[in-house]
Amino acid sequence: MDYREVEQFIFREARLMDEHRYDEWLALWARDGLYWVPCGRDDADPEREVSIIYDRYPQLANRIQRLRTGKAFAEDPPSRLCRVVSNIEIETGSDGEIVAHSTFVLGDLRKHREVHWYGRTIHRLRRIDGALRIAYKKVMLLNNDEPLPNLAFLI
Amino acid sequence: MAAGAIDYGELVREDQVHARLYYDDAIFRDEMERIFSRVWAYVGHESEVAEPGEFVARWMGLQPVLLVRDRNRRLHLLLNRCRHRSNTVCQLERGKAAGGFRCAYHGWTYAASGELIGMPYPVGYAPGDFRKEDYGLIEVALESYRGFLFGHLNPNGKTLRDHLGATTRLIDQAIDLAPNGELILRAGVLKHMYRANWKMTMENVLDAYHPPILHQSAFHLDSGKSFNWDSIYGPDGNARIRDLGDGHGQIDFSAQNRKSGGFFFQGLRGEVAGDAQRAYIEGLERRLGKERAAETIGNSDPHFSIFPNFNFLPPGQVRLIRPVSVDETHIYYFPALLAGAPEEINRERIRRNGYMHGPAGLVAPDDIDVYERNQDALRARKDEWLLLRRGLRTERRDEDGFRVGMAYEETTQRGIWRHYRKLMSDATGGAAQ
Ligand code: FES
Ligand SMILES: [Fe+2]
Repeated sequence: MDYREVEQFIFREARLMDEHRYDEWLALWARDGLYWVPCGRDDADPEREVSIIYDRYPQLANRIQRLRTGKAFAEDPPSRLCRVVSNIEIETGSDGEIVAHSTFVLGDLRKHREVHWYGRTIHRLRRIDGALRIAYKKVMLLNNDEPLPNLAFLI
Repeated sequence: MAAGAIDYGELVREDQVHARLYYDDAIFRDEMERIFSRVWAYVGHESEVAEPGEFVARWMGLQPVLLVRDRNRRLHLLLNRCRHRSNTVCQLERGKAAGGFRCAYHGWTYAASGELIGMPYPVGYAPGDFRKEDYGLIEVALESYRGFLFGHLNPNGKTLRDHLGATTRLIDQAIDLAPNGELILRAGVLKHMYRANWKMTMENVLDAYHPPILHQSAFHLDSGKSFNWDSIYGPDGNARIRDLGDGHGQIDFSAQNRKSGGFFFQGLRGEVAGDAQRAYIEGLERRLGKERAAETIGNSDPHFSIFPNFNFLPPGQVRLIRPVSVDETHIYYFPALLAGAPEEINRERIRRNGYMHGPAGLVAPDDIDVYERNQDALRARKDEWLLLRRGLRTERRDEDGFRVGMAYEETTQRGIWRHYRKLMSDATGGAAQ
């Protein structure tokens, strides 16, 4: 496992999200990928409790399709985003998957209003046809038990 | 009218309302008095505090309250304010108060029932100067309709039943979908905030003009691309809006639901395996019989609003609206699960709650952005009237006497404002002048 490669993958994913490069971001996902942003607490049970986001690949693809219509008014005009990803730690997971822990700080500027987001992320990455792909991504927002403003961009 | 008082009869007209109603801080303060202190307001569901000691922190208008079940399983709505020198006695938003509530400042302790049960150095009061019974947490009137709990700061003789009126039928409709005849709200809560007035969302939730337009990005995803949305929302469409009086209202999708064999707005078509659907229908038939079960599924989840702060939306979402200031509002979204339904169906209801309507949903964020655009536009101060004239000449009365309009009309918004004007024009709450 190459630490550098994993780190570069995570940085690149962050930049694709910042730049609203939706299709390229979606292409980073394994077709059985699961994207989870828990609500209320980090260890909620996503099958029994509501989540901020709990998407399998088809829902994720819908989410991206919607954003690309130009009629997703919550992102019109789009948020300007800039995130710093840090504290990356890598472990070997089951089935040879790579587990990466990281933290982020995200500035979100839209219509003259700046919102700051903080969180911790767990990626599970898998090598498919030689390339790293996201099999699982969990984003634990610092404020996931607070009333949130719109989160219509990629986190 | 007292000098300087606001003339609500002038600001709220039959077919238009003045922008000031959304941005004037003095009006917001009047609303907290004349609406949120004078009508039944939604605070939560019995299932949220199912166990003795369980509590959730809520609000009556701007006032912090605790909804709590005591050890005798009785429910209480208590002001979260220590009776000694004022301090919050509970810091958490939900939990289990095993030993009751203890104020950190000087240690006064209250039972889950609100009763004052102890304090350090009681000897500080001279004999006869203090009676514990007089200093329990202040209790707010609380009534339940089939598990839905509403509080009232100044009960005036009007019962919750009186207040709910025809909406009880819609609550019944929502509950009837549960094979065990009960809704359960213990699947967490999504919280959304926006920087605009609370009435924006109360009007929007009964607005069936905007969905195919504002939400076109969600309506035209692959799953809905080939569907003719005009058949619901257009001039030949089968959706209706209904003013249920007292500021309550409904968007009636039942014709479409019946046409599509139920489940249309539950989004359960195709999303839940045939086995689970069959098990669910059988469960419902056991309780209701074949005919009523089919009718219930046909009608499906209702879409309605109870003034001033409760909404119910398909697929099983309860909303609590919390005004924070004249231009800040929080919305809490609770998945309402069907007791006795196969797990798969409830799982899908939970999932769709966040997928459609959370802060990262495919629908609600567009509404939220529009409220903030509303509030921004209210800074433009010339001819400050918001038009509500659609369908004014064509709306009709249904067999129950309620005003009904087409999806793209404004019968329901006018209903909200008619009631608003009545409440806000009453400066004293019916007390003698
Ligand atoms: S203020 Fe609560 S005990 Fe003194
Ligand atoms: Fe909407």
